Amino acid sequence: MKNMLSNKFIAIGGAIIVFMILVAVFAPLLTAYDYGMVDLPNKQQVPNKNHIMGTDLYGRDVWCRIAYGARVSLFVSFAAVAIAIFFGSILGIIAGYLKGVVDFTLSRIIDIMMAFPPLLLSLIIGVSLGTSIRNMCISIGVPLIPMFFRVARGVTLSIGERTYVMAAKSMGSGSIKIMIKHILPNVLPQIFVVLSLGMGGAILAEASLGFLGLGIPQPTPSWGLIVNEGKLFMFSAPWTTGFSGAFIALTVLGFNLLGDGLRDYLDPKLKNLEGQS
Amino acid sequence: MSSQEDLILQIQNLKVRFPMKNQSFVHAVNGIDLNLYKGDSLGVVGESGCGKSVTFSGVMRLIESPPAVIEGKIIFNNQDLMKLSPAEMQKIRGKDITMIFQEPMTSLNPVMRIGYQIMETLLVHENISKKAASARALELLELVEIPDAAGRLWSYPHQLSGGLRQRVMIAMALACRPKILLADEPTTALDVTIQAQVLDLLKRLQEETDMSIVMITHDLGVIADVAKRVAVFYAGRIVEKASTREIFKNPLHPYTVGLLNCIPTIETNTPRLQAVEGNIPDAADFPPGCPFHPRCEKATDICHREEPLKTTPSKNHQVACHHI
Amino acid sequence: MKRYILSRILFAIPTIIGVFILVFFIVRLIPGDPAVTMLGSNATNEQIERYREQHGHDKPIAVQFGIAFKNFLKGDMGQSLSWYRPVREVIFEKLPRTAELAFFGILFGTLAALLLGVTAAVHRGRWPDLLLTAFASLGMSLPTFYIGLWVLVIFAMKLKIIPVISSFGSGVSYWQSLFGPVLTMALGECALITRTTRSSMLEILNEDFIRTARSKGLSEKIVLYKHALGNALIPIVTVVGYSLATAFGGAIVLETVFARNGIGKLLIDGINVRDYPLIQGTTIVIAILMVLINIITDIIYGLVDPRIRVGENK
Ligand SMILES: Nc1ncnc2c1ncn2[C@@H]1O[C@H](COP(=O)(O)OP(=O)(O)OP(=O)(O)O)[C@@H](O)[C@H]1O
Ligand SMILES: [Mg+2]
Repeated sequence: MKNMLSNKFIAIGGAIIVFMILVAVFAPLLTAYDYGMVDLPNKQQVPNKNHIMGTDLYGRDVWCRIAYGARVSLFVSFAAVAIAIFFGSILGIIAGYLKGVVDFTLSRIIDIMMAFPPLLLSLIIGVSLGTSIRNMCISIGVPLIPMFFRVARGVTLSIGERTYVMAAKSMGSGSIKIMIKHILPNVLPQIFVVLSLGMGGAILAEASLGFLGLGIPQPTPSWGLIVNEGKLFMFSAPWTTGFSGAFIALTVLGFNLLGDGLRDYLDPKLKNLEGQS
Repeated sequence: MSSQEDLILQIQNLKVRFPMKNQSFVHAVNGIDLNLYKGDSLGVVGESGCGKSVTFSGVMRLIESPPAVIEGKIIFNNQDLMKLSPAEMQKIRGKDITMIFQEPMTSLNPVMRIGYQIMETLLVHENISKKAASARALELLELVEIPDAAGRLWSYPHQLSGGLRQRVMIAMALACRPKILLADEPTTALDVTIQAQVLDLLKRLQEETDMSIVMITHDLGVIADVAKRVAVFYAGRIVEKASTREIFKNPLHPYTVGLLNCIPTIETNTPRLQAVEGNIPDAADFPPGCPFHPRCEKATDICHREEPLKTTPSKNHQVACHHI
Repeated sequence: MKRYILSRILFAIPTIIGVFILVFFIVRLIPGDPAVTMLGSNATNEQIERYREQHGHDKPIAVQFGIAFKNFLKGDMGQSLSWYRPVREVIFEKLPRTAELAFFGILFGTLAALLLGVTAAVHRGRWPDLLLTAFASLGMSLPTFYIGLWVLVIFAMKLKIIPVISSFGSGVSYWQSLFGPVLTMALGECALITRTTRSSMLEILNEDFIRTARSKGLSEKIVLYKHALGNALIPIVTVVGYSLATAFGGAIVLETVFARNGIGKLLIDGINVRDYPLIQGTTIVIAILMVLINIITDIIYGLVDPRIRVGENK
């Protein structure tokens, strides 16, 4: 663990993420306001003593909304990544373990998903399911499945031929048991690395959907929603979108750094997956 | 032949060290003095890691410095190469002094046609047209005896075998009719039969021109075949230097004696020298005194304390040992 | 090489069919009724029935799919509900706007990235490298719309050299209309490509043939940009291709930020008015473009690397 923290990227990225999680957890303690409290006389105030990040169109405290927004955005992103990990790694392990027709079919389906720019896929799934927090998790999670599928499949293929797996097979262990007992423990560390990069992608997706006005609906403040509410006043009152965008960027940076660091730390070979999916 | 006018390259007290993470240094080269004459063929032998490649990469100024620390003088054409600007050095490198390397498989650019890689040398150093350069490249391929040279001129490196690639490297090194060719283990990576062919080629080319050649090798057989003079390297120093005949007839340094006792015969063909019991000392941490003393049978007290000076027991024979 | 290209194309066909199936069914899930959207909420039941019959919406979904797919193969993507024109016509009218944005954005982004990536690699571990690596990490973390909004604030509001609405005409030149979105896309894409260039260059600079190039007396510029970058380009091609392919997705956000009339904005407008045929058509076209660009990338990859282009002589 100490060793791990000596990696600059892990240390800095980890610190940023811990900070964001603390903000999300302690949001009520960090602000004196209610995120929904409308205060029209004080609308669009420049950042000042009472409102360190100013107020929005309805006089709501921007910092308060960002802090509560951390809860929604982090939760949605995490749920989305969890969905992607669940389906991606199960299908990936199955494809890599059974090979043949199953692998071919699953890989073609993943190819189809990868034929869409991730945001586009999120967008049409989101629109067709209707916007709710649960549906947002699904629509952000689905485009992330290929990323986990490929890692899980790759690792499974590379260890499927190892002697202990072969031995377990010849001793008559069932396929499911082998996959859970022997393959999953090898897949998980790699998934962990990609998880961090996936979280960055999910935060960005939530923000972009929010910006397009197709994200998590009112009244719950998510970072995407806050960005969207402020975007029309970018010239006159840039702080709403300015600060919420900065929080989004910082969080994504944290996850990216953490992911890069973990990748170097756990397995330099995984570098080859950079830039794909 | 070793008259002063014929002197073409002088290496004076060359030292190279590489910094390591924990503030210490790898002392790769520790005060090399060496002269090279016109038409000379100098053999350089020594175990792996004794600083042969670093010394001659240093002559070419191919060592990135910093981080490396390089001291000493390298005098060529009355100028100290160490003091030249990068641009001035570029005019000498590849033209007057050229080098071929140990790894023919990876020493050519994989995305450029070999003909072009040869032409490139000609085009930077000589004022000739592309057409003339490509004609000359073809001549060079023929000179190094590449079969079907015209057909291979526009091949990519991956289409050629290791022996052919090394011939291309030689062609490239000869392109501008250099005064000095530094051949750093040009045959180590090749099959035995190919090794002999490449050596014959180098020998013939050297005899036909007045080029001087430095042949770096592990293999005393190669030295006997190609070199007129020999320098024996140990731990970044020259421990013995003499004519090839003298070395084989009358080796003085215990290390040289050890080397000669285990010349690989055709049957055993040990490719790497394992001259004497023990390992070469770690270049990061030399023992005090004579660097060879931990492995030397003759070692006495003084060898543990003092580094031996060079002595000249006979004309053209130099050795650094307390027991001469 | 011919077989290589052919196999790429053959593999793409099932993907494109899959894309069509996926989009068809996802779009069918979108809540709301096209007939109501089309005829307005005070249409009579009778009118709605007639509309459904005319458009085949009363048939089983499998039949509807069959008809749609057959039409798609003929290049007919239906009638836009909001433009009252064939979807295909509308898309092809807007596509050039997006294509030029993607092209210039990736072009400038790549050129800058090559320069920055080589610089970082040459100075590895020293301040230019640290600075550029930090820049690249930051660039990869900034949402596109966020960069875009600040570009608008700086160039449209403060400097007033570009319009707030980037559709040309009415006093806005072609290049002015492109400047904002292209700059934004270039900045965003530059980050990833810079990183790839740097790591690829670092690997290549350790290769033996770089030492050979130096030993020939070539200038450092030629060694770096011709010998090293020439080899480093091989992995870079893949990343640039990937960036270009996803740029059509990124255009959705960018065209919204800059109010630029490309297919990205067309899609968002279509979503907002529930124009199903248009949503379906735009999505499929973007996905097919992505597949095609990926094929072209693979082919270029093969062309840059002679080890793939011309096999062994044996
Ligand atoms: N760039 C470098 N950084 C650090 N140490 C180096 C570097 N280059 C060489 N060395 C060290 O310098 C010493 C001499 O290396 P050199 O390559 O000259 O040996 P050599 O005699 O050519 O051996 P070989 O026969 O294996 O080619 C070795 O200990 C090597 O580890
Ligand atoms: Mg060497």
